[in-house]
Amino acid sequence: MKRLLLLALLAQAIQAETPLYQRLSEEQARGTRGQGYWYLFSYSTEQAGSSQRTAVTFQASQLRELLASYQTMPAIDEIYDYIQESNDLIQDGERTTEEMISELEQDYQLQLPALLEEWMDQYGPAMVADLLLLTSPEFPSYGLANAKIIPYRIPFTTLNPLWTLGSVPFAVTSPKQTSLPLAGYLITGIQPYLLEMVRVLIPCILLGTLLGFWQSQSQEPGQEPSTATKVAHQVVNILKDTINAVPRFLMVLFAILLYREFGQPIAFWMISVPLGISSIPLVADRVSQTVNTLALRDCISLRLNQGFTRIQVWKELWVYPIKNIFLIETLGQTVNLLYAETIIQYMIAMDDEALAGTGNKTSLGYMLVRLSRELYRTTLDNQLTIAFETYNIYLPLLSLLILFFLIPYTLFRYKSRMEATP
Amino acid sequence: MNQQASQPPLQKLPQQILRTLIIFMLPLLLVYGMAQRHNQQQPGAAQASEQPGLASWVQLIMAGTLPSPPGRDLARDLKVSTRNSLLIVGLIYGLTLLMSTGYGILLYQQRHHPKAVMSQLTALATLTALPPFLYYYAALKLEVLPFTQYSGGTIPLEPRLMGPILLFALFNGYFAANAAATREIFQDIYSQPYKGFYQGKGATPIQTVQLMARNWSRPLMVSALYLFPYFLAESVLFEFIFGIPGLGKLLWYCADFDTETASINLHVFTLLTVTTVFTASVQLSNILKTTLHTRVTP
Repeated sequence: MKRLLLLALLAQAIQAETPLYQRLSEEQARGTRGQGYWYLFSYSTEQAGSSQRTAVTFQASQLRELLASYQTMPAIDEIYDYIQESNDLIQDGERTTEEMISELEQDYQLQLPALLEEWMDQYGPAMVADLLLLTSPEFPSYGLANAKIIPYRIPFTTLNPLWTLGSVPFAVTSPKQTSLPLAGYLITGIQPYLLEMVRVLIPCILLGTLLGFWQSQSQEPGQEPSTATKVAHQVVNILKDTINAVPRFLMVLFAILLYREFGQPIAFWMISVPLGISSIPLVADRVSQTVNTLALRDCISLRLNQGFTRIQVWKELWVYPIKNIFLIETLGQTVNLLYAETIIQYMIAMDDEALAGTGNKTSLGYMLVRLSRELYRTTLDNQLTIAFETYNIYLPLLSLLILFFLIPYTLFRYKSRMEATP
Repeated sequence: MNQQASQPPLQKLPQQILRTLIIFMLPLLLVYGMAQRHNQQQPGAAQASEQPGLASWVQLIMAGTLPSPPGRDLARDLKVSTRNSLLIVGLIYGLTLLMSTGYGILLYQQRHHPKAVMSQLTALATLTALPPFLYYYAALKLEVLPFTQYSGGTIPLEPRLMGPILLFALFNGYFAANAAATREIFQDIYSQPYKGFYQGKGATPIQTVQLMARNWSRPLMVSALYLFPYFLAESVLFEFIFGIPGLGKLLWYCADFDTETASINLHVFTLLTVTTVFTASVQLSNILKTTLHTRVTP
């Protein structure tokens, strides 16, 4: 009895050391993350000189069922040999799969789980034998520690293009919701950009507009400016040149390099704030130049002489041309934010473990990088190719790309139309 | 602006020097402060405190020695990576300029259809500004390009590293913007009777072409110099992503993981040096741009 108990403990210890078990317990420890996920196992078998790559997918619950069935199974290597030998007979047509299963159950006094029988039909006996050997606790395969977990499942069973276009893979944070209609995704995908626009970009551009306006108003032509104005001008000029000297992308890069080391996740503001700050001097310059040009043409003094108050003149200046400058810059900076965010998301995806990650997992850039990264991995990691081609990554990627193209295109169109306004 | 122009140049000189100094020092101070703060928070702060401060770094630089992190020759790395980065920027800009000039001429020829030209340009701007890594993935997938991610030290550019660079030159947002600028330059040139003017002044046909080429090239060079800092910054980002040995790759070596104390140490001096190189090149392009601009528009 003691011996049996020891053996059972030993088996448990072996199980705990198996990479697959470790992976599973890690997933369980994380809470709901392991639930309902699809595991993708892919490996190559070499038989008679030719290698064949195969991919298997199953859910976490199925995996647990399989692992539980090992407790009642005798030596896995014997079963493996048995199935492999029978497989030759099945291929020669001397035996059927059902016969093989019933003989196996009789010979070894075991009840094969329904899942394995299902897989026998689905993938063939040879592959099930391989799978048994690979996942068994007695023969741990360290390659399985790297088993790919897909947090979403693209509905590949139907080829209805409308359905496929409507099922953009959703964020990893909600595993239960495997797909979301395009309209819904549009809102969740664009929401972070809109928020940043309202929170950071628009105030920055407004500040730039005010600065430019102040810059043009503080200096009356033909008058000696006060010392305070001179100092203010110098400060503004220095700020302008400094921001010009450390352009937006380096600012973003430094922020990421340094904040990454601080161990905090990269927040959206770390991308939008440098963009916003770098747009201030540009806007200020354009506004002050425009107002100065109008002042030189005597437009402003003419209006004042016609009896308009200063506030009325400023209002007129805002309606045209300052509002246009403001809108053009806002549209341009939004597109910049989209591109900068995407490329920075890519930087983070490049090395998931080294970087702290981002705080945002629903934005368009995140999803685009995530999907294209999978495409990239299929190339790097040849073993996953077939699996991902089965899952058809191209259609969701295409739908995302269309979105990614359409949004900047619309913004660019509005921008160019505004720029063309005389 | 009028006020500054009316000041005598000698009175302006100290102001200019002060301004340049501040412009150099501000990013350095920012980077130094952040890096020092980080190093002090790390458990293995002993190494950080051993490093001398900003003043001694400036002294060392003035004395002509570049302090390097242990086990690395920073002077050599900096030389190679700066050359690589400038080469990459040159390559990318050269290709972009060639393409955009060609496209600008095409756009100029279609000038009688402004709506069509505008929508064409907008679509192209959007398509070419799509993240280049997507095109890179597609090229990898179709086996057009080999996978090149260099993960060693700093080496001179090799032909095998050129794939992503060329791809990046083909697909970046500046191509369309440059094409529009080129079209405007052409419109400007052809709207004025330069040819008749020069020939009327007695210039030979070759001299006329030379004079007209000068008219072309100066605005193009000004726009090139305007874009240079952006190109350099983007090339840094892009080198960082694709692991191409340049200034971006050098940034990678600014951080060092200490396995014993499980802490990340930032090499403050390397960070400062990279920042200085970057700021200096940007300042140089700014000065050149201003000089050229005043010569173009006297």
